Amino acid sequence: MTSSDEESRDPLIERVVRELQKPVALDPELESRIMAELRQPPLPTLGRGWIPWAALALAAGLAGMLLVSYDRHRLPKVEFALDMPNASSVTLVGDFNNWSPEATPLSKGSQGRWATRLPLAPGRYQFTFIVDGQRWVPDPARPRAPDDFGEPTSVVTVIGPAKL
Amino acid sequence: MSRILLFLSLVCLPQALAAQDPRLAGRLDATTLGTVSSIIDSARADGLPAEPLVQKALEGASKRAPGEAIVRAVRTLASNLRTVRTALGMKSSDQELLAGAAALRAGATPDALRELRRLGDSRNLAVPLSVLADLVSQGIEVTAASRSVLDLARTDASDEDYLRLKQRFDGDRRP
Repeated sequence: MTSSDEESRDPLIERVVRELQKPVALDPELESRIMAELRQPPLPTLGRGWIPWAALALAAGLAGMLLVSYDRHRLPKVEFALDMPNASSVTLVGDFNNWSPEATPLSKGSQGRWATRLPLAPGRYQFTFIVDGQRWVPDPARPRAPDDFGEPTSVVTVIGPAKL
Repeated sequence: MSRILLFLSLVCLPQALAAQDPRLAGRLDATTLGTVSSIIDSARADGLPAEPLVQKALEGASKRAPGEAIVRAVRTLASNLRTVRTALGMKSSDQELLAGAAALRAGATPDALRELRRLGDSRNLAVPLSVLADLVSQGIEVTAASRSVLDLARTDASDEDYLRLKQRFDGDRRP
């Protein structure tokens, strides 16, 4: 800031100060209206007490949603693929989609390769493919996990941008 | 008073909702749901991660396993998570516990996990444990797999080093 800036600003500040110092003309009935409001019985505390809590809960919820959304964009995408030229559908079930057969259908690409890419946080996940809605097929490219239920299960360990 | 009640309800509501996971309700029969929920509640009360147990139950449901098999699998996993936490220490992360439980399930011993913690100190052991589980699951003899992972741990190896170890075994096993 130069000295000329300060000189040109001073008169402006002076004018603002003068405006602020002027007495404010109040409505002559204002005082009586305020006193009447004050004589009213107080509102139930519960009614007003909810407001800050509700606002806090709403803000926390929104912040959580934003954080989850932000994090999902930063997660490494892991590819799941299966060569199954004669299949009419292939879906993916695992620890990342609540083992829901409808949650993650794979898309059929060239030469009968079914594939999808999922953003996954670093960790260890068990999964398997379901072919044509009934056949459980493990991922031939990934390690098998000991199975507790008599169906083949594969495992993927996500470590940042790479995968095991 | 009303503020106190409201505060308590906000604090307690998530715990009440968590008592029975809504994802399990439509997927398990009533008896299995009750037993599995009880195991999960108990694990949660002990400070163990509940999510792997929920996923194990959902896996069983998706594979149309009998209720007894689902209960058995969830109970075994909860027990393994406890054993792993004892071996690795109370400050272990959820991912370490899950990977350690997978290693135990595959056949690794609690002693091997304890030794890994001793060598790794405060390092995150999720990847070394996961690699150990994979090696054993793939048929590598438990002692040999544990020794390989422990040897690597003595060199202050990175997660990528463990990845290379597993890939080396993968390569050896390919015809």
